[in-house]
Amino acid sequence: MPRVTPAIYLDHNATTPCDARVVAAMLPYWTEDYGNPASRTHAFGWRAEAAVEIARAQVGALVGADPREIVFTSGATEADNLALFGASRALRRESGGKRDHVISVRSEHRAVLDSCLALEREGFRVTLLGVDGDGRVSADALRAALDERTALVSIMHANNEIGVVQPIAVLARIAAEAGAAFHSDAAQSAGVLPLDVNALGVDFLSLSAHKLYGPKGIGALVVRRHAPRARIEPILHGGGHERGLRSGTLPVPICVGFGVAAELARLARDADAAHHTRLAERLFARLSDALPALVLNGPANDRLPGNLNVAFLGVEGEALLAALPELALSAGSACTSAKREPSHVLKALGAGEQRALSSLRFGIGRGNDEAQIDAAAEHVIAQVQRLRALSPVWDDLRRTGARA
Amino acid sequence: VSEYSEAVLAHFRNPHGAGRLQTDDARCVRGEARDAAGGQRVRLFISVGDDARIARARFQAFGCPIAIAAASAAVAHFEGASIDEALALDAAALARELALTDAQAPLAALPLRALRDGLAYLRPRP
Repeated sequence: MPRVTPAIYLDHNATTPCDARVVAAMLPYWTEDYGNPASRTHAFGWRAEAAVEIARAQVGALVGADPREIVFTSGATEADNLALFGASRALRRESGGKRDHVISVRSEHRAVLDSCLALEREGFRVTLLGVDGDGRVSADALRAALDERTALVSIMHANNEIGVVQPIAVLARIAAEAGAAFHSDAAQSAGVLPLDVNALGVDFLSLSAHKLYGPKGIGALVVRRHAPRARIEPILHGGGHERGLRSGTLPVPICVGFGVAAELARLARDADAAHHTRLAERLFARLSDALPALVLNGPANDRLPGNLNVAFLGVEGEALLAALPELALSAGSACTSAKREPSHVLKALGAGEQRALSSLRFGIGRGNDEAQIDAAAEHVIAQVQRLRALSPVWDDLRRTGARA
Repeated sequence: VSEYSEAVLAHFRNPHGAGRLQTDDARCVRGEARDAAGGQRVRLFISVGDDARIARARFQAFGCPIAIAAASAAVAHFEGASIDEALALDAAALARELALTDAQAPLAALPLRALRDGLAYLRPRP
């Protein structure tokens, strides 16, 4: 089987390359300062602990959190699991079983949706809110779903597939008024959108290092200490690390890498966001100038910088991906494309099956430039035209003038 | 590593017989088949000559590279074949020709089902 190295990486919503400065900062902690930060009796441990605490402060600074509020995890999936299981179980127990209801959204990441399914098996009642045609959750829908039994609301900040940004501050306030805790997965938005846990008013926030040019294998759950403090209990049991919330020896090198990546992201955020937005707009303009019948999935404005999700009506997404070996792209989310089902996010928007199957996600990042975007657009245009020429769906659309 | 065989990619990149035929002629028919989930479809056009052989065959396909490659490979077999010979082509043979995995193999049936669908519209010779 051929192994193709794509020339242009446009899948930054899946993962980002680790910044060379991050790699350099991590290096001493593999072979020189290799101590266990929990070792209190020697300098190896003290140096490792000091490095981890600097990283904790750097991650906290990215989102306006106190360093003591940062709980390192293996990634955003674990942070989501810790928030969903840890908070729901603790809140149910604390309320004497009265709060046994969890609210989330149909277009959430699988880490949250599958956790909701598992909570249902534990006896929780789960409500999944719908979204509008742009993917937004409405305040009224949340208000209607909340009741005195709601323990936790989990709504992501920016969607990984279609880039829609939810009005988290408004939604979190509504949840707080009903006495429910609020969790948000901010893995996509951290580093490209302003993110302040005080302004958002959330109790828990999930972060991931590898989405912001840091190493894979580490993330964090921000656990707010504000009053009234939302209860949460661990899902991993052991040595009582991370204030008892996440046992396990801290992976010092990647903690350091996460910290430096967070620091760099905080400093570069506005420039990165402007760069990504400019290139995404350029790409969409190039494509829509040359190709009729494109549909932008997600909102035209207020979306994640650099995310572009487009339906090329009449062309199947897997075929278009295979026709573009020069480009690293995905059809919907990386997990969904392996399963070959229309994306659950696009279905939640009310997109018909044709539109959902015809969609590709472009994720623009720091390494991309105008020349790459123009080359990518040329490849995509040529292949969409070629595949439409042999598509019965496109033939029907063209003849009837219908739109999916 | 690509999930598609070299044979699939060769047909996908240079499909054989892509396009449509005019079906206003009674000896030219159109058939269509979709996979169980309904997302992939193959549309086949064949024109049958007086000698009961398939004079021309064209396809349109919406689907992954395998669906497109299966339609392309099937059309290559159909052109010039008698109707009986075309009907004798089976999905397993087409799947082997395209080196499909077990999970991919069901898509090889699409052009063959489209052929049967089309032949059902063929008027008996007067």
